[in-house]
Amino acid sequence: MAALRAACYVPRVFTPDAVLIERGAEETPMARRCRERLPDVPFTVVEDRQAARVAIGDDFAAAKRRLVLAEHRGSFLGHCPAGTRGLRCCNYLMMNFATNCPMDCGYCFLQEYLAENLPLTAYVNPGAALAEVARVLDKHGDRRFRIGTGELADSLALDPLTDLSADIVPFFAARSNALLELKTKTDAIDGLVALDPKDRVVVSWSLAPEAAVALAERGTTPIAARLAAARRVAAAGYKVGIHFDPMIEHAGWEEGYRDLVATLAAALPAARVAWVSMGALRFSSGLRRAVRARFPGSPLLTGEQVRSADGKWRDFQPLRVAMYRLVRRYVEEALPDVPLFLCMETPEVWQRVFGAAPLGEQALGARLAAR
Amino acid sequence: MTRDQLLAARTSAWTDDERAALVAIVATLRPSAHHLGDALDWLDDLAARDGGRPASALDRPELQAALAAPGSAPDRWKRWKEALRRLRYPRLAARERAFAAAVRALDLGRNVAIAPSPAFEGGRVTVTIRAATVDELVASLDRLAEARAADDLARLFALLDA
Ligand code: SF4
Repeated sequence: MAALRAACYVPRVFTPDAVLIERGAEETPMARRCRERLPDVPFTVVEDRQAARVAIGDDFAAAKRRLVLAEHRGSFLGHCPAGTRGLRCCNYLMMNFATNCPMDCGYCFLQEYLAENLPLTAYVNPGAALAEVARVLDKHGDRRFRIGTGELADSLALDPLTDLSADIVPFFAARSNALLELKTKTDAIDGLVALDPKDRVVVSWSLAPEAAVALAERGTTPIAARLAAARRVAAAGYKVGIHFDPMIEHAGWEEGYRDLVATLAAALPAARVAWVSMGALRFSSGLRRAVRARFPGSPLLTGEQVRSADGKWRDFQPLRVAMYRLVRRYVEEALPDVPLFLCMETPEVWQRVFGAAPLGEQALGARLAAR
Repeated sequence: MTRDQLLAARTSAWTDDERAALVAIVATLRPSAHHLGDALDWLDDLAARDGGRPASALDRPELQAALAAPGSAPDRWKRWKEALRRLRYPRLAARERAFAAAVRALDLGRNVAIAPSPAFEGGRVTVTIRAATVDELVASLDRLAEARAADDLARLFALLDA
C-alpha cells in the first residue's frame, strides 16, 4: 500500500498536463512564472473561464491535471462554512486564491461543491485579494482575525508554480490583527522557508494515520514528509497547526492515532504548535452520492454514519465521541497546553468530549488568533 | 428515477441471478424508489465492508425471514429494510437493542415510554408519560424515582454516551 501511495503521490512541484490562460492574463507575473517553471507543458490561451471549463470537460479527476490561470472577479473573502447554525466554530474567514486541487481525497467536499465548476484554477490577481483583506483589517483594527486560504484548494499545492506565498506571507507578517493559516497536505514549503512570517502565519497540516491516508487520499504527501516539512517551517519561524480532520475510523485506529500523536510530538516543539483540531469524517448527502459514483465500494462510506442535526453524515454520536475522547487524551498527554478544539460539532458533543460547553465563537476565535 | 430505472442502473454490474433475486423481492414488497435507493446503498456498503458481492446479503436469514413473514407488503418491506439496516449498522443496532432492554428493565409500566433521539444523535432521551388521572401520573413518577434510586436510569443514560 505504501508503495502504491508513493507511486501516485503528487511530487513537491505539481506538473499539470496543460495550462490554459484566460485572455488578458498572459503577461501577469503569475502566468510568466508558470511558463518559466513548466517549460515542457503546453500553454493555451482561452477566451475566458467558461471556455476553459468547456475545454476541460466534466471528468473531475482529469480536471485536476490541467491548470487554468484566470482573473478572479468578485469578492475573495468568505466566512468559513463551519459557521452553520447549531455548530460551534471559531470565527474564521476564508480567502480564495484558487479553486480545486491536484490531489484527490475520497472525502473531499470539492467533489460536490465544484461539480459544476471543476477546473483547477489559480487566480492571477492576488493583489486584489490582499487589497480586499487590507480594507477589512483596517476597518476593524480592534478585532483579531484568522484567515485561511485552504477552503476551495490546498493552500500550498500550487505554490511552487505560483509563488503566492511570496505575496501573502509578507502581507500578513506586517499585520498585527490577523493570523494567516495555510492548510496543506503537501510538503511544498520551499517558498515559505525563505520568508519571515513574524509569527503571523500558521502552516497547518491535516494528518491521519497512514492506514487511513491509504484508504482515503490520492496524491497527498506521505505523513512522514508532511511532518518533516512541519519541522522545517517551525524552524523558519512559522507556527504549525494540526488538523486531525477528518478522523477516520479504520482497523487499528486507536493505535494509529496514538502513534501519530507520539510522532508529531517528537517532531515538533509544543511551543510551535498553534492548535490541534479534531473533526469527524463527514459527508453531505450530495457528497455521498458523488463519492459513490466516483469511487464505488469506497471504504469511506462503510462506517456507521448517520445524518446529524446539520444534515451531514457522520459516525453516530457515541462512536465519534469515543474517538474524540481518546485522541484528546493522546494530544493532552503529548502536547499539554496546546489548544485543542472540535471542528463542525455541536455544543452537545463538545460537552461530552471536554466536559464543558465550548467557548463562544468570538472567544474561541480570539483565543486561537492570539496564539 | 423510477423504481425500475433505479434497479436497472444500480444493478448493472450484478449477475442475472443476483438481479432476479432482488427483482423478486421488489415485486413482492413494492418499496418506493426512495426506500429501494437506501437498500441498494446499504447492499453496496455491506459488500464494500465485508468483501462480498452486493447481492450476497439477500440470502441472509434475517432478510429471508422478513420476506417470508405474514403481513402486508408495506409491513414486510419495513421489516425487511430494518433487518438490512441492522446488518449495515451493527453497532448502532446493538446499542439500540441495549437501550430498549435497559428501558424494559426499568419496569416503568405501560404509561411511560423512553426513547433515545434517532441514532443517538444529540444524546437526548424523550420521556413520554401518559396519564388519565393525577394518581396515574404520580404512580409513573414514583416508578421513575425508584429507578433513579436504583441507579437504573444512570445505566440508561450511559448508553447515550461513548
Ligand atoms: S488535499 Fe484538500 S483540497 Fe485537495 S483533494 Fe484533498 S481534501 Fe480536497
